[in-house]
Amino acid sequence: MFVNSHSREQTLNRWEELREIKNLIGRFSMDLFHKNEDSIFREYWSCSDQVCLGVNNGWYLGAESVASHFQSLADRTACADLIIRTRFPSLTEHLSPQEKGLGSMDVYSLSTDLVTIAEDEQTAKGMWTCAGQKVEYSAAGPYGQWFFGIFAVDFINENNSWKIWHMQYLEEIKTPQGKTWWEEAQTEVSIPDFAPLKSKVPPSPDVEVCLCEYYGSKRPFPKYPLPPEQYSTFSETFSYGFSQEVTAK
Amino acid sequence: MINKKVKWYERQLFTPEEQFDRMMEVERCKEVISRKIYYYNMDQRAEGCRRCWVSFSKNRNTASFGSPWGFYVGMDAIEDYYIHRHLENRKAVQAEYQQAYPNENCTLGQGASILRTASTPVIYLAEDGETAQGMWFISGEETLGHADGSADGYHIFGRAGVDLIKENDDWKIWHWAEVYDMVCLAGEKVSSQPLYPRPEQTPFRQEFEAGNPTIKMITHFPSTHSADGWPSFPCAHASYGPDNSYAPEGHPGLRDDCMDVNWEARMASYEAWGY
Repeated sequence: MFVNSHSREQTLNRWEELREIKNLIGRFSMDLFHKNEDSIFREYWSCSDQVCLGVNNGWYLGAESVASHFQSLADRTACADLIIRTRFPSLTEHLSPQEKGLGSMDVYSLSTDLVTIAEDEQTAKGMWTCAGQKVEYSAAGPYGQWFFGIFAVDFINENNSWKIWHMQYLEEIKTPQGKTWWEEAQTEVSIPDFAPLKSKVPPSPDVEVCLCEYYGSKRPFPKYPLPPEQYSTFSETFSYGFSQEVTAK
Repeated sequence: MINKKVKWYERQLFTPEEQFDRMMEVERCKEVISRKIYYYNMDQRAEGCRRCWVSFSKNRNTASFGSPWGFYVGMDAIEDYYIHRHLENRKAVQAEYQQAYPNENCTLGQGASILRTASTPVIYLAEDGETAQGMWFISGEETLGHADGSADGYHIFGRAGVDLIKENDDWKIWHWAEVYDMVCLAGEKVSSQPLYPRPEQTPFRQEFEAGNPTIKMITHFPSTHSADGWPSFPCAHASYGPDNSYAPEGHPGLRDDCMDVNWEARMASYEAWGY
């Protein structure tokens, strides 16, 4: 981050940019927590054509696709809220229609930040670990989960404002609370009231490829993205975005 | 209150420009620790040592890695344990898998998972700017699979105290002291964990028996959390001093100016009190 050839003023400016990037990711995480999924893409992502989101089972490529992923999360939240309001009217009738995420909570606790801004200050790279928990709903009703993962993000400077350009969010472990993470998942029994949630899942990735296999006792050791290194300009470093060459392996 | 004291302290000694420079040095220290954790998570310990640990001869000789079962002193001892012994363990597990699945290509680290974090940093740069001292939570999970399909997976809550030193204007880890305050088997209730886990009840039981640290001792009892004073909380300081470091000399059980702490006696006393 801090190349010694910079003047103090330059270093201060770069530190301010770094803080903005870290705040951006913090707000992103907080908006997931507050169930503001419908505004996440608009608020935090670049308007570039090359935006992409990599998750365990593949890549979402382009603005429409990435936005649809987050919109699907918002749709799921809205569906769950309607179920809860319908099922528990006396407990929810005092709530405003705008209140979202009733009885649910997604905590993406980010730490171990390692962020590098390019010398040309047009792009940046960052990596965070995520140890989190979810409380939400499935077709089988409410459930809680622990999860562990990493975020690897390329940022781009658009009109003096940092935006997410490429993101990989890879989960190593996602497990119901109270369970081990190597047990086979048990078949869920649907609760009729919650059945509409069965169809509320994110769309399939545009490129279906296993970027990170969830933990299993027979699984090879995962290949995580590399941590960011100092670089001059984006063409001189690796990307956390979709690569046809890498995917073709 | 502590922040006000430190601010007063820094302002008394340094110009605003110097304070800024020192602030940036602290940021650089954080980066070293984050990078070290990522290499650990990627199971690339050799690269992590090369990038993040001391390389000058005099620092290599005095480097230390503190674990719950003792201290490894000198980079040779640290690398022998941290890299080579770990690799041997990985190879042994790989062989188990290969025997169980002879028609498959079983690889190093098969069935393993590591995701540790470094958070909540508290860092102080020495007045002389040559060393720094910090503490982090290093919690997360570690899992080791077995060829029979089972696995030992743990939620880990731990802390690390770190001395860093400047080498050619790069910050490097000099002394690392990690302890675990709670280690909980995945899927089990926290309340079902032993109140006073003895070494053999932890996932690191093999290390207590055969880790072969340079200085063999129990450095921390999880039941007492931070009450046993290890790792000690970092604070503002003029320059590096071994008594206040995360090297063995800084441990309350080994410091010349501290009463020798008998860890077994401490354990016995808690049990006698009926906790």
